[in-house]
Amino acid sequence: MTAFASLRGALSTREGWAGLLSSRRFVLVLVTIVVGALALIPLFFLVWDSFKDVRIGNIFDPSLTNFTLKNFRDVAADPRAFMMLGNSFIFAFASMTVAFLFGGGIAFIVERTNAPLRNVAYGLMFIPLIMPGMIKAVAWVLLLSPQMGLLNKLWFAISGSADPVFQAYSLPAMVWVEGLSMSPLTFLMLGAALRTMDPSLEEAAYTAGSGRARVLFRITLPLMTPALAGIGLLQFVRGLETFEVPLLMGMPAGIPVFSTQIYWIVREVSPPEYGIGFIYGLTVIVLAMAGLLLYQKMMGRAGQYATVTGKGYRPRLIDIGRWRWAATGFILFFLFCAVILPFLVLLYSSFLPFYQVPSARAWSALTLQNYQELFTRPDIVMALKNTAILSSIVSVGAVLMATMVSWMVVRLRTKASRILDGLVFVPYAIPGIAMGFAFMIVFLSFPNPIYGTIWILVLCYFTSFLPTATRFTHAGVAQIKAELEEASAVSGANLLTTLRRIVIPLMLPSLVAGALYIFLLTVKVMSAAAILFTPKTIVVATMLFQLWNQGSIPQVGSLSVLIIMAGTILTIVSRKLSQRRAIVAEV
Amino acid sequence: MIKVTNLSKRFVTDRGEVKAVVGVTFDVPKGAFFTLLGPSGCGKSTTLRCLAGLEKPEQGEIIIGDTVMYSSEKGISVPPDRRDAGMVFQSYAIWPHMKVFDNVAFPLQVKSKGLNSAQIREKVKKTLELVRMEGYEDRPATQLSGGQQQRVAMARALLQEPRVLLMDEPLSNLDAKLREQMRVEVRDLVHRLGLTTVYVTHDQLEAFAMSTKIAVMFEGRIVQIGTPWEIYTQPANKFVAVADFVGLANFFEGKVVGGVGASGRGTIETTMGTLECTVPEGMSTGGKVLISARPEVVQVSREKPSGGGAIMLGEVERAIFLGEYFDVRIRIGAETVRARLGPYFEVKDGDKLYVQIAGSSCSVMRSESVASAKQ
Repeated sequence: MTAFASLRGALSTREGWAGLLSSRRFVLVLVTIVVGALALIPLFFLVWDSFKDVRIGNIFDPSLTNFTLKNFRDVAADPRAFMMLGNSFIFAFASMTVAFLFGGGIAFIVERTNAPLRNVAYGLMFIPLIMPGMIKAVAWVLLLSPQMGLLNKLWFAISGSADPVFQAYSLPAMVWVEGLSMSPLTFLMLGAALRTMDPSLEEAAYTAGSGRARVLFRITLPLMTPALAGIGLLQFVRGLETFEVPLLMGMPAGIPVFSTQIYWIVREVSPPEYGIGFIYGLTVIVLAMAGLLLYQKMMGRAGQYATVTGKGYRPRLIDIGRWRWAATGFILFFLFCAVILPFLVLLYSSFLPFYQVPSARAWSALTLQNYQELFTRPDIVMALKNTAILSSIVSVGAVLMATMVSWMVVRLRTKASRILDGLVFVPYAIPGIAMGFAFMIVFLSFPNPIYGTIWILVLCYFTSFLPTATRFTHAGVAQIKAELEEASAVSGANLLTTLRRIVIPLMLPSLVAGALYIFLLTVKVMSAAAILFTPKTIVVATMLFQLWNQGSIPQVGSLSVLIIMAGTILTIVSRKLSQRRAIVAEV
Repeated sequence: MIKVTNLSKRFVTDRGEVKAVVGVTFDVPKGAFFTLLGPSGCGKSTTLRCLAGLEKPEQGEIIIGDTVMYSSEKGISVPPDRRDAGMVFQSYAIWPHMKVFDNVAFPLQVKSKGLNSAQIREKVKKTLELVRMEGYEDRPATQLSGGQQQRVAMARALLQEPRVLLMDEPLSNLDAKLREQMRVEVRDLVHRLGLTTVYVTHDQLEAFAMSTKIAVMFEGRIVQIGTPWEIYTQPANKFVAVADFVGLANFFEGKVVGGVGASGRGTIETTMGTLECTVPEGMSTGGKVLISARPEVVQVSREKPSGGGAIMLGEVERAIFLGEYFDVRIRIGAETVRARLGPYFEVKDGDKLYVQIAGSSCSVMRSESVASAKQ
């Protein structure tokens, strides 16, 4: 039966609209349409406009003629395009390598060696995730900048030389910061892969007479290959998509990557070169989708190798002897670079009347004024208010919608629910910057009251984070036995009552954990906001960038400290509620 | 009260299509305790879930009271919340986030029947008394034992005063002792309330002890409907009579050699001798039959007994002492007969014994009905 017939059928009963809303099929169709529209309409506009000559004043051409390959030719003729492509790949690959060095190294130490204090690493490795990319980038510029960077100043003081050793506005520095930033998730994923490996596979090799090194290279590493390749690929894709670090550290040095190039030609250049933007946007989406599909395939292979999923099977720990403390030192070094150092720099700057390197004069001038300004300066107040509204609506809305989606995907298991399951993951493969650009084009194409308001941001972030929300809610629904819902139905409750009284209360811990996680994500991720923001819809991520450009470094500091504090509280609450390492939603 | 006609339900799984229920037809009169009995995967639970509206069949008709709940022909499918059926689930399905009171009161809370909260409280109290759980209203559901959860699930199903009560293996998760006790309790309670009940189980003892009527199901079909006594003494085919399912039985092939009269009794020649038995209707001389004799009706003696029936001499192949009785396998020519001997008979392997089977305690099935049961 079609949606229309079920609509008519439901409306003919005496419950009318209430009956309609409690008809499973109707709700399924409705949710599928909403999710499909949010996922596919922006994508459609991006593809359609790639073949049109679109410019300001002629933003949407619905006619079936006037198709052109002009945009592709423009890109092909632009030497910057190939430089950008090269930069993006080098940056993404190198960042992934750094992330593997730290994340993989720490995962190995924690899971497979007898290094002291390794068990607290799981708690600590979550801390770097709290810090938004923008804040990390700011902090590292303050540390590495050639003239005022604190690490360079330290070098000047030690060596007496006047030549800086570090260069913040360079590819290596970008790689360093992005690599640090990716390390915690790499650690969590590789740790999980190591943990699920059947220890008897290694033990069999030991009993067959193999030494430690041989087991590592003949058994452990080959078994880990699909997981390593998959996780590496995923981090590479994330590296292609990332925005904040290239924006702050790459743009001033003329090192464009996909995301910053799109931002540049859409928001900074006048008139904007939308045509090239479409092609860049599509390219990065295609790369991301291909990467994610390949990733899923590899993780499927990795899953076949992972024969032990229960607890109690701890693989043999390797005694690394004298190197034990060095291994612990390695973990501490990472945490120092990823969390402590950046936080201290920001904390220091947040108490200064104006930014200066530490000196007796600086120490005597410390002030709380920057914290006062957070609550008095109109633009900062507005950014905080907008962020609170945006993040609240997006987190609650996405989790509620995801609950509906998960319930249908996990429970109904019909053909339609499988389509829904596929649709809901489409935005996962669309980088934030491309998503923001696509939403911008959609809402510029026809008159509407949404463009330029906070609501376009709400829609865009909602779409982007719906897949992440379903990671929490899928697990939540799967935990509920179907009979608990069936008992409600035979007791006389309709679908909505069952969702309200049985499903949602039982899922509440996962829902709250998911909502808090997405709240934090919305605060952290800047890319879509950078494309879509107007002075009235500024949010904290864009506010930080604006303050940075104005040179208001102390205010950047106080705002960052506030965000980190709030993020820490939210993360602790969220983790207490979910209590499961399994839910690792990648950004 | 319940009329099910030609009900069919398929499932599509990864391994292809499974016919869970095939052309099932039965009637349950008002106040009856009707049991669907069969091994796991026979379609009994699916049939029950179709009655509740939790599964949608492809074909057939379900009428409860005077209401057509499902009809493939008329395109009617009433959702579960409007079928007015109480259901007890195998896992009890007690909501862990609610207290006992809310679990039981839920049906009244979601369907306003014009009751205020004091009236609801009163009804819950009375219903909990029925299942001997009075005073447990404020207990969190997570602090109940299995047996208590079972009682709360009963109370929830009874509170809405349903037209029919559906139970899906409600006792299978209880330990053996409690199960035996609850069997009687549930039957008496349902009987006292005069509820029409459809009960699903794979446990023949449970079915015999509780039901007014039993439908034996196999591979999605009903193979026999009858009272517990009929099912046991006159199994319709080898499946119903077969070992591990409805008791144990010895089977012999035979041929009707004559004497089928108005009484329905005929002479049957078997490998175990000649028997005088009640022959299935329409059976005439020359027809092939299968005879089943329960181990408890096989008479065994050391001296050659007098009297009629089939008497054969055999040798004890294996005697297993089980306390209450000896389970004995006796070899007679090419056949092996199982018998139960009292604990004081003192039989051992190799003993020579006379075996006597009375035709009146055997049941006779057509050979073709055996083939149709796919045994």
